[in-house]
Amino acid sequence: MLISLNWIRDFVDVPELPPQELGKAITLATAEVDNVLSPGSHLKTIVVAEVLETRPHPKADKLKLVKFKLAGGVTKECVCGAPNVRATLKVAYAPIGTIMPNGLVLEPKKIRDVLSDGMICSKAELGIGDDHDGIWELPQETEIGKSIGEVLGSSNDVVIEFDNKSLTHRPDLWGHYGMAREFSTIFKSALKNPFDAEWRNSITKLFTKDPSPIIPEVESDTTCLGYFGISIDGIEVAESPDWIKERLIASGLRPINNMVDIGNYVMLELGIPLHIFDRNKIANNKIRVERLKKETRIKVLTGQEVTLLAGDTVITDAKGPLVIAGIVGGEESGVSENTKNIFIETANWKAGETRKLATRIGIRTDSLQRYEKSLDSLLLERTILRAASLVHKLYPTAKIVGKLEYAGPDLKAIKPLSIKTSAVRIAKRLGTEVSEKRVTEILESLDFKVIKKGEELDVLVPSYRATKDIEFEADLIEEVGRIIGYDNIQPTSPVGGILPIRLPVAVALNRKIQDFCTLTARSLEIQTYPLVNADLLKRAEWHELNESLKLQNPLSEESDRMRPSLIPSLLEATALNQKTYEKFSLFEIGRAYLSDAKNYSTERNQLGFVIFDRKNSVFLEAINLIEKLISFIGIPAQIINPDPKLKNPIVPSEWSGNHPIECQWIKLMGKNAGAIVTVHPALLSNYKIKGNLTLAIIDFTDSISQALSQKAKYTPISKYPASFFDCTVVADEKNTVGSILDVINKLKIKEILDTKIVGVFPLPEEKKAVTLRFTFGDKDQTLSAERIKEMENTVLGSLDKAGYRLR
Amino acid sequence: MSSELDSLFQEFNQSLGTVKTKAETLDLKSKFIGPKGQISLILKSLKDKTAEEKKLIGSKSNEYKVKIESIIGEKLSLLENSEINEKLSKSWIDVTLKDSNLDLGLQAAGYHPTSIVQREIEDIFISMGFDVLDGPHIEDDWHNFAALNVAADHPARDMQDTFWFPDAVHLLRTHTSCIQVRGMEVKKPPFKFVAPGKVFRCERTDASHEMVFHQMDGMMVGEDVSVAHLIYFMKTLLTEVFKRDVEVRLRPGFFPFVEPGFELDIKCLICSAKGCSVCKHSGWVELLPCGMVHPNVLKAGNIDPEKFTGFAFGLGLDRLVMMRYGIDDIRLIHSGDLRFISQFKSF
Repeated sequence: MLISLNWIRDFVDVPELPPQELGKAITLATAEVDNVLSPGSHLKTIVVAEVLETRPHPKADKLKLVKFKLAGGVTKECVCGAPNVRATLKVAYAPIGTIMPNGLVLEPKKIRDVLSDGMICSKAELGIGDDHDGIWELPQETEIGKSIGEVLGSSNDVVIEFDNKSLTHRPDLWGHYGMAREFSTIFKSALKNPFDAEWRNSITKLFTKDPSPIIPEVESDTTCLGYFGISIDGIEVAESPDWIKERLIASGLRPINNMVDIGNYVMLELGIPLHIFDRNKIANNKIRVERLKKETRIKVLTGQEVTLLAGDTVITDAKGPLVIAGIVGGEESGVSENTKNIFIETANWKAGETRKLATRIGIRTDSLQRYEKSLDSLLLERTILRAASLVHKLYPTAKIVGKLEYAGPDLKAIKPLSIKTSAVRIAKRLGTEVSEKRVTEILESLDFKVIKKGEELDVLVPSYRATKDIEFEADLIEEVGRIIGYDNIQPTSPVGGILPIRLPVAVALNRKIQDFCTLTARSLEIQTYPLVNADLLKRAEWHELNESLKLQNPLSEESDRMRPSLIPSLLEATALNQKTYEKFSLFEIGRAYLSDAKNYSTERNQLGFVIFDRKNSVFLEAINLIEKLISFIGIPAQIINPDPKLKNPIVPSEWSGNHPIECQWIKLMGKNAGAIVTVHPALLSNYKIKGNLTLAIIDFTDSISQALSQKAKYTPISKYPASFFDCTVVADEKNTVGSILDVINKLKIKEILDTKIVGVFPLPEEKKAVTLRFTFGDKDQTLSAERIKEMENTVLGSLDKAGYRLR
Repeated sequence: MSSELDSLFQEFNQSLGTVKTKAETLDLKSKFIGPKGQISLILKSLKDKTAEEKKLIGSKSNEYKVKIESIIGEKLSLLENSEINEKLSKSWIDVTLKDSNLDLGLQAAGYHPTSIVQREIEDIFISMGFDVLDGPHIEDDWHNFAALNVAADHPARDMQDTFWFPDAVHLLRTHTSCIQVRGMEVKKPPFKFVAPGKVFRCERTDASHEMVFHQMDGMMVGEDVSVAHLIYFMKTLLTEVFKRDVEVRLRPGFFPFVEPGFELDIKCLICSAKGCSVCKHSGWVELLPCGMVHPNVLKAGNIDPEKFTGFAFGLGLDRLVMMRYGIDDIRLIHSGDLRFISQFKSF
């Protein structure tokens, strides 16, 4: 929002401060100032020039080199991209060093190798219009060398630009008068009240005994919180006087005609929107606020045609809706150049419903911007009288017909809000000293009434602050805090008991996995989007398309649902990176999202780990790392052969990405909770990936509580020597060494301390020789030669029985 | 005989110069001091001599024997060393043929930059006694809005900001502030915790806007928690994060879940508050919203606002990551592109 300092000065004396200081003071006490502009300053340096000739830019088709003449016959040349620049044109020229309205300083700049000596400006660049399409064409008779400020006859106003978001909770600051109250408190300078009883009388005495032509009606269940209307005859629609236009422009509104401008002027001054009707266009002089009975289309002032639904609040005449309440007026009933008799409306509407309707029909207006913040119905009367007084000021002969009419809820029923507080509590909450005198002074300056009752203060909130903004003691604390200045509060460490704090196991587990993956597995951590699309899942031939976790309002189809697994995203990431790297490893600790009948959705915490190598198989590398990782995080786990009869919810057996051989399942706490899989080349071809990709997914969700809890336990080192026994057996080429070891493990002989493979070498006829080494021992005694011999025979016998004969 | 010994020793020294191998050295040893060596022979021939001669020649012989023994020892170890070195030089390796010089694919490994910064900030808060919490990404209206005093008609609920699921109850959390609500559900005051995590906004993406990004909320509730305490923790946090003393300022800011609400600015570290494009020539950079927990939020968390007060803050983690590493495009965070990620390698 733009605030004109000249306008503020109508109501309060503001000290002469540099713009930056002024902006800072208001930012620290009230709301964020984005910019303090002196719209006049650049207009003083920008001057009128005459174009002498234009020629094409040697290096850019769309640019031209423009030679032009300044006062005293000085000629210069600059680069210009506007289509309308041509010889003999009078233009606005900004020399090097000009501070443009957007705050940028014009510097010498090469545009496609040609140095541009300043710039020829469009209206938008000058901050006096929104025409970006071409440079501003000044009237031919304009004198060369004259400043644009002189041409426009602009004043020396200062404009303060607020960040609208920081005014969200302050409906009272959406007009200059409300803002002036803040200035008055910040700079400790009394606020003038030009809208006193005397002023009010000066208008009400213009009321006539005639019956009011329009007596508004308000249906009781609408969004209307109050409706004032007044009829005036004998006006003439024309251009507004300069003093109105100047202030509208300074506040960022375009002057249209005096009636529309008066509406806007009063809104900008007092913060309450108004609407002015051409009374001759109101059928049967009937104005009624009601909810629509059926769906209706209406063409609004902005030219759009919108559809309203049954139940939407509108203002109608005898024929149909004229205005969408609180949002925008219809095209037909507005003021036009032929308008002679008007009806001024000032109303208040429920914020929430009005905003919802505006969102639905996609219209935002200055009026909605104020209504959605919850306005004060008690300010309506002052607003409409101000508008009537301005009409009277412009047309002293215009005649108010009848009197001010009101319809809607009883405004007297609005009782002032009272909040209890105390200076002691305010000081405690702020953590700084503040006296009762200062508290009272601040609140009173902001128009609160303070009644002292012992230590307590009874604070009456002004009605325009009580619509939504001020509700609790905390709100009063803010009022005091912001005016004494939060900067004046000393940072203070709390005092209190000291308690140990430990990383939650989920966080500690994530950190451990990250540490292992980076430092031991030498992998790079990535993050991919939790939002995916159907194509991405289909490319991975993933069985679950997660239709039930689709968003109602995705940004695009690119990311319209939650991912059911990390795998599709990891495949995408691999596809991207294999373009650059021949071998790499990456991992992500992320969530997979599944719908859940009871809790709507469930989120699975998973590790996805990938190794890619263009040339060599990486399955064993991956499984070795995962085995160590599982041991590192201490969750009871097993790596097992996939079993098509069992369910693996993390990587189902049916997934086409499964390699027929290079696939192992991971069990955590006895449940299938992951897999290590080399991705099938046929699936990789969907991604144009050529190479070997092994991925591991581990779902920790159900075992987090067990992680990191396993403790190692020491067993005394055996005093008795172990003995070793080697043997070589013959196996089929495709027998795994794991299945040979299984034969021994199944024996469950406690004196076999360890069995390991020493070597594997190929034999003819698709056979291989496998050398095993057994470690025999007993912690309580030295094994006897007989016992050792017995065990040798047992293992050889079992191996032979299993089909692995001694070589 | 004494002179005979002298000339023998001279002869030994001369022979030593010509010896090349351990075997020759040992031969030389036995020739002079072995049981049948020349010095032994001289000693044996002493039995016919006078006691005085025996004493003189005997001690001189022993002297030479010890000398020769030690010279032989030295020679042997010298020869042994040169033999080992000879062997080693045959098993020469190229000591610069290391992984970093080889084309082995991507050798870098390391944490995601967001993880690095998040962990660092978690640790700062843990060191000050804060717990670390998280919650679901798919949240419900209550935790994301209603319990945080975001009224049913608040603009933040509009479709343009929030990703909704079709049931109009569930949504993707738009801030980590919902973990404040979850924290209050499980904790009894006094408590303090931080809550980092992913958040989602239905916003067009560009270099500085993402639909998925990271925040860290923090909350402290107890008796008499004040604005002064909030400023203390924020200043400490930022001084630790930026590893230098930073100047902060609070100014009024509106957020439904706090009252009073603040925007916390830090003095621009790029230009030292002289004015630059980063701070929009104001000297201050807006960094984090914070405030005193709104009474309605405490009530929603079953905490008596008459008895307890608290502060809360929200930190944009991606912004800090981008500031620290000079990252110019927020979309890189979730790109999965190792050309980006490998720049933050651990080794």
